[in-house]
Amino acid sequence: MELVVLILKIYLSLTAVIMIVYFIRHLLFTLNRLFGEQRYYYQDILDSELPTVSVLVPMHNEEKVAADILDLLISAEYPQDKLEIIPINDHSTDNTKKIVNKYARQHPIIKPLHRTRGKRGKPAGLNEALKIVTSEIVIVFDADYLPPKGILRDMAVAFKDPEVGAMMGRVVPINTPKNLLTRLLDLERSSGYQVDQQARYNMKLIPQYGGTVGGFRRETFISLGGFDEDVLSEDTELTYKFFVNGWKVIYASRVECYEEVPEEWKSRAGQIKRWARGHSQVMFKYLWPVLKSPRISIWEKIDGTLLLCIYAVPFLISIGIAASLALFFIGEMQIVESIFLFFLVVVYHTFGNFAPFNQIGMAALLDGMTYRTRLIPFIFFVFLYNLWNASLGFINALVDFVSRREVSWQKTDRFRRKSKGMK
Amino acid sequence: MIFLLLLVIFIFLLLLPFISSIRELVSPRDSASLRIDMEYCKDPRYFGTSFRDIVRKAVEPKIKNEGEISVKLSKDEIVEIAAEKSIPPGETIDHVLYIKDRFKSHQHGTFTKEIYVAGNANVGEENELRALAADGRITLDRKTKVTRWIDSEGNIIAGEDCDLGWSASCGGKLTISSGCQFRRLYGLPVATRERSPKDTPSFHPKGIEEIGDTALVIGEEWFILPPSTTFDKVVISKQNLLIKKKCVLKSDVKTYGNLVLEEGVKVAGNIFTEGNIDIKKSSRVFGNVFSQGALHIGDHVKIGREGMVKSVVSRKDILLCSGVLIFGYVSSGSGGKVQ
Repeated sequence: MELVVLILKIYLSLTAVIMIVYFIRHLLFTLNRLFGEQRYYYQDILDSELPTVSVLVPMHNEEKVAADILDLLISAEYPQDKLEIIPINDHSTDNTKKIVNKYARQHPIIKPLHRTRGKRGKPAGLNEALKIVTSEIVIVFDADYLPPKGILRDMAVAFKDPEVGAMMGRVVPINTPKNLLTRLLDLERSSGYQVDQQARYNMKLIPQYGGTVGGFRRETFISLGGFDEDVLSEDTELTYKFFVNGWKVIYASRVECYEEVPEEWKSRAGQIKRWARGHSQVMFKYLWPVLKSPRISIWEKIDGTLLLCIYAVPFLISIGIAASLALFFIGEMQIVESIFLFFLVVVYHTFGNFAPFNQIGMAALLDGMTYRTRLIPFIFFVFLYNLWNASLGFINALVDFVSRREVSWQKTDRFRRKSKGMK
Repeated sequence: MIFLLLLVIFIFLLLLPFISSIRELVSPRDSASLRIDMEYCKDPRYFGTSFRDIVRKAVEPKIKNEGEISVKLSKDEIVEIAAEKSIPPGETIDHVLYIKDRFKSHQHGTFTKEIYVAGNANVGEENELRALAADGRITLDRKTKVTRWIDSEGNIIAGEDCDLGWSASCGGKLTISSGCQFRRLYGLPVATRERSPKDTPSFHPKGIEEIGDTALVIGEEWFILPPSTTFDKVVISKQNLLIKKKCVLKSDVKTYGNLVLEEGVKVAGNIFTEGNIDIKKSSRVFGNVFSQGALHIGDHVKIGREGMVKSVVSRKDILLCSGVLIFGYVSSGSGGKVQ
């Protein structure tokens, strides 16, 4: 019994250390956005010599949203001789194929890729598209996104920097007013982009390519092996693939695009589980390469490691809570330790991952949105919800890693009532 | 009874943090999505183009009139329509001007509202104007201050010590003289006037470890490319970079620290730095120049090339010396000046 108690106490201490580390990380991000020098993105560069661009739009049963994004992309301001739009119709069983073909007949720059064979899923679809495109730069939008008119130029110009392998823009929910969930997700997104991503860009750490509203160098990425089709978070994988090979991923706060966030808790749970599972798959794959890569600075290694482990932390905390309960009932949980642990949970919840009270508050302030911060106390429930679902996702990734089983892609549900074409 | 009271107090305290949340949820005051301008495209002449659109739409139905009319621009405004206009010295104009042909102001004029001129505009010495759009040429005499923007379909010539406000843009050549201050410039090209030679300040690099003019030196702080050398590949330096005289770089350059281009260096690609950039005289950059620090551009430096638009962007100050030619756009985060 003494050994069990000792192990539980050591584990609790370890959990405390992890929480302190993440608390410091996120506090530094907030302080950087408040007081630090803000690095410029490249949107001010006007250049009449733009690179050739292929816009890839993965679509699986996207009849509710397909026409909207295609309407916006064909009216985007980018030299038409340097642009092609490739909707990747990935095993759709609804009217997606019909919609895409109709647009392709009317607009020669739309060159659909219909997939009916091979593995389904975003990484597999993107890999197949990469085989047929010839452009210098690939830009990816998910099908529910609504790209503004000037966004392609603002994104493509990043690649004038010879060290940039990939870039990432900012995602803004369009269905924010819908319900409590969408409003809370709006707060989370604000915090994630306005504070987290921008601070990482400012501090020359690891801004993350998010898989949509992002672009990358086609030839370079292919030479690095393309997407791993067994990884659910192809975006995180791309980020680390570029970094460990000496390329940079940069963040562009000005490059904003609307998305549709989940309107149902069940759908959100699925999304979190997929992200946690995919991200943790990347953690198992890239933790060692990040630590040993000579092309990554020490600070990038620290941030890269913390970012890789971010979806493992909810699982570790859940075990920590279980350990503290066990110690309490065994009678070994001294009052000083439990207060200390409680303090850490509060501190972690306040300043650490998901960081509502500093990052979300700061993001709302930077965005000039103040009354929505009144919803912040509700984030406590989101924290618990995420803790549970992210832990499940991590466990899945752990099983994937041990059993080498095949994973299948789960698409997030769409909630748009009717495709209006936006025009 | 006491138990019930305690229970009520407990529930009240438990719900207390959520009261404002519930209020915001039930009657939202701030539930809209963040606004994204779906039509936004980067346009260096946005101010002029958009003002022309607004003023023409509002005024043209009444264009036959001359004198003052009331129209709605962004708000209700008095607009004076005139065929030509010459403003006497020291006069203050508090309404919008719509001039069908030429416009001229003498010294010490003050214009608190926008001016549209279909012909050429000559602004006299030490005028202060809010905004000016002209379809012809704009000439600003010395010490004129623009508080917002100027835009011309033709050329702009700004005399000494002018303040060009937030933006000075034109479809032709934008010539600025010594002492001029600016934030954003756009011209094809942007040119600084020649002036009598005198010492030009620049960033004086410290701690350079040189061992001779023929060596490629990889020092602790500085990486030095020897003079008159040609490099075909992209050059990325994780420290400061000094490119010695008459080097030719056929691709892009990026540094994590400061960058110095000595006299007569040619760069065919783009330049990106995390630090300051000092481009010394007679150097030539064919691509864009971007600095997260400050930027000093020496005498007779050329950036970009005719028929193309390139950009010079600095997060901090920009100092332009004489005879500089930039084909395209110049933007400074904390203000620029012509030496």
